[in-house]
Amino acid sequence: MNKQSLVQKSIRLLLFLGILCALFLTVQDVLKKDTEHRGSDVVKGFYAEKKNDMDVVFLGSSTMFCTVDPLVLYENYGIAAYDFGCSAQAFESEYLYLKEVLRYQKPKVIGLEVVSIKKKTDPSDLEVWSYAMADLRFSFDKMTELYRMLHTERDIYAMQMLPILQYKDRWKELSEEDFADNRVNYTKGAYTPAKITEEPLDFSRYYTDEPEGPIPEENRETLEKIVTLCRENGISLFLFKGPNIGWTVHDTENVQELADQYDLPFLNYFDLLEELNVDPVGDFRDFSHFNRFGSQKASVYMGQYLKEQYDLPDRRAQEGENSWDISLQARARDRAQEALRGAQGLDAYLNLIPYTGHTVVFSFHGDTRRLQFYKEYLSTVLRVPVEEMTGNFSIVEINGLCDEGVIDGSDKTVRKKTGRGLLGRGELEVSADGFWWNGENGVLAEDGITIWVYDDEWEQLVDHVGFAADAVDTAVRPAED
Amino acid sequence: MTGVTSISFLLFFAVLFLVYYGLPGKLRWGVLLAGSLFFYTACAVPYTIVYLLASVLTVYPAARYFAKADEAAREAGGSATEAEKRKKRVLILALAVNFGILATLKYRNLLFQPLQLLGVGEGVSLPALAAPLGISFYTLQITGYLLDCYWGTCKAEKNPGRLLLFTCYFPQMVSGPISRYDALSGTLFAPNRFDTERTARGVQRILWGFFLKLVISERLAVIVNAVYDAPETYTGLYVWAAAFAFILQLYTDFSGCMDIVLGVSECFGVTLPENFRMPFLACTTQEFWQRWHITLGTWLKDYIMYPVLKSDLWYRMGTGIRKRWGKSLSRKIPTWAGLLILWTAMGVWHGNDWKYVIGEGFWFWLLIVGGQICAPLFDKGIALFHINRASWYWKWVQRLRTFVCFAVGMIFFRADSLRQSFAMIRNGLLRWNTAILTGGLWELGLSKKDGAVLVLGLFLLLIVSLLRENGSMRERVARWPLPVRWAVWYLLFFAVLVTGFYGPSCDMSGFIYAQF
Repeated sequence: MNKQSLVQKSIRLLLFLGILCALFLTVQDVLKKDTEHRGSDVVKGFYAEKKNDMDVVFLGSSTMFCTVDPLVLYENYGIAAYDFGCSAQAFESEYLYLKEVLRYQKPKVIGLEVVSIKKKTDPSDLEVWSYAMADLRFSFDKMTELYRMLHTERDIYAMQMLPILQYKDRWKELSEEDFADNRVNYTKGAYTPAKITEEPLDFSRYYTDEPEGPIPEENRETLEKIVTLCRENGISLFLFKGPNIGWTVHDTENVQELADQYDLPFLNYFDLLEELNVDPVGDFRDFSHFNRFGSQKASVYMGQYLKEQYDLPDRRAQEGENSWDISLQARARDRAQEALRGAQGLDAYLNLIPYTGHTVVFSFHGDTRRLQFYKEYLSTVLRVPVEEMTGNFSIVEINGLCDEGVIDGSDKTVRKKTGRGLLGRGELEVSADGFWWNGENGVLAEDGITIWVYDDEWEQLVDHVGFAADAVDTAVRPAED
Repeated sequence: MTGVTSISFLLFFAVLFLVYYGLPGKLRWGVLLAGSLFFYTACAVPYTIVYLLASVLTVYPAARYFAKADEAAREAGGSATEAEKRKKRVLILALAVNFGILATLKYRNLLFQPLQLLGVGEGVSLPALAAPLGISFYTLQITGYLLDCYWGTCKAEKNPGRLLLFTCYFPQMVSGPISRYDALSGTLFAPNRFDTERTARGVQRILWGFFLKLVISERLAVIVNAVYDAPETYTGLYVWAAAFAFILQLYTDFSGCMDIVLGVSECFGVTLPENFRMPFLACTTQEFWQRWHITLGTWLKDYIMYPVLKSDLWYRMGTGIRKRWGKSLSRKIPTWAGLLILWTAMGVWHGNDWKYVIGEGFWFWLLIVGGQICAPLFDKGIALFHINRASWYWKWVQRLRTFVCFAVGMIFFRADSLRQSFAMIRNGLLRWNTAILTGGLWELGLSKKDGAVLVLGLFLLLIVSLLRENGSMRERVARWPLPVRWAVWYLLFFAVLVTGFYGPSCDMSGFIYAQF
């Protein structure tokens, strides 16, 4: 074989393998299912962030991302932070996560939440490992670190390195969602639902519960490696602990000992419960996690702490819009939609409808004489003649503009809106008889008004509600599947 | 390392490939030997290598003895009857050791079952003995070499390491093929140079093997296992559907394994014999067995049947029959008797149970001999209905007939016992059940989407098989434009990767012929 022929063959081989790898990664990405718990959205969101744009990164598991809300930090202090952690994440994996952070970001501060420091790594739980590892990009570090943690469970190891092995059978159930590129995490990794726990948390157990045992040796070694890596990269590291049932004062003492050994600050929220006026019911969603209200309090304190302890820039002062600004706008949009879904009466509902960037269908059906007041209201808001609002009719409002006015019995044409951009993935069919979304009949009130709200920008249904003409204070929604 | 479709095997192959071509040419066969021994200890119970070594240690000196005896006889000239007798004794001893090990480890039940029927040892089961990996294959391979040396058609190997490699060459250890020494040695011990085209072809063949096994065979296994695990529930058409599905499963499983084995060898520059040649295109049972498990059939013919037919005993038998019943029968009856021995051996080789002797042996003997006896009757029928033997539709009728006959024999192969075999055939004929035609198929565990993949896979297999009758498919694809042939290989790769039955969610079976 002459040299030219060898070069040609080598190039051809490399090209063949290169295309094969690209196709492999694409197919794997399509087949891989996003984890149901916090995992895929956090990791994918991290990779979607601009490089070297974060000043603070928080590591840990669910206690971390339920305690610290980066958007509260930004809104109040201009701190650009990200919660880079997944549900039930093993402490041993935090070193790998820190290495991943350093591949894409240059944070000044790392905050490490320590709830899982007292738990031994369980290599056998495939689901939990998938949360943290399946979406992590391939790297030599991932290959070696994961093998160290999972060498006794080679099948699980193989599935984390090549997620297609776990998800290949999903070719039978693929939908349009699997081909969508939903990567940006607008919450910056935080999870702060408004849900309130049914049982109050008894924090006296912090002092009375027996400890489960010493910190496992592998976790001590992990902490030491994290400390070393932070020091090598000039990053300030501190430990913190969010409040949860199951953690005891003995665990705090064990962590404090380690913090003293490595000269690390340790912020313990158990010591701040009174100062922050933490409500053991209203501030928690379950026995282990803050809800939105508790997270707000904890995050405001955290922001103050960070500002006092570290020299962090106020990113609000920077020119132009950054991703935290966009996230705040998204949060406002999300909260507005949430408020809409929580509204009970038709009065409040009509005042909360977000028109801009949304498609809204108002469909009047049956005996609607008692809804005259609301027809007049809509006539003014949507600039539609109230005289045309008789019998069965529907009005379509798209992105703040009334689209083609009233569609009533005299108008035989069925209006259809389909495709991407407007109304995303789906078909909306509107006529005097009502409306259908992807073939499903949308009318919820036989004698009343049905309102259907769809977010055109995020391509998702916001709310679907009906009000009977003689019960306008009671919202009726479709039964959940 | 549980099989040639495992990740461990692929890693092992990759490492061995790099070492093989990384070392100087004269060391390469040594790399294969080291790799083969490592493969053996990783896949089998390690101490059973003793049996393999015992085979080599008996055959090596015996073959060397034959070579020296032949040389001495040539130098002495004239008749050397005493030397011939000594050769024969050595041969018998070596064969006895090898087949004795095989019989003891694999076929004790064949002797014990009839005794149990006579009331001896009733309720007793023989203790299981660990058998060496691929003993049924390597025993035939090494005794074939021994016989070739005895007959002087093959030169005895001087290097015991090479004979050991010939016996335990790792790709063959799983399911064959059974090679001849003079055919294999040329490439097995040669310092084969790295060749990109040959390696590419080898990888393509491996990929095709994975497709047959993981995409087609494993899906068919779902249907087959469901019916055979509940024979009282699934009767009538279920039995026949499972019977047809099983021979397709067996074919794609076995030939898929052969594609992987031959592909791996091709990457090393080693040429192994083909074991399948589109068997379902055969028009007669005889032709079928010339296309199915070819190396076993030719081994049994060359080393058992032909020597028997040429023996003095058979000659005397033929003479006696000619005197009594005429010339025609004097040729046919000894041949049929020889075929009976061949097919009995075929059945015995397949397993430690009389179901194999009946289903894999006697049944096919019956078909072949019965076909020859009834040939005049068939000829009359064909003439009566004015059937054109050369027409394409008659060919497909014959192929279908051959397919069904083979399927009946394979019911014995798949069933748990002789009793279950007959019970299933009886259920298939007498307990009519057509539920499989009205949706019952989807209750056997295979989803409709998997069913669609299966049908597409079988269709692709049919097309490829028909095209291969006129030449190599890989060479045909190699002549297509580059983007097209790359697209073909990418599609095949992703078909295996995405739709293949493997991983923790699948209850994957091992290769069927690996039990031998």
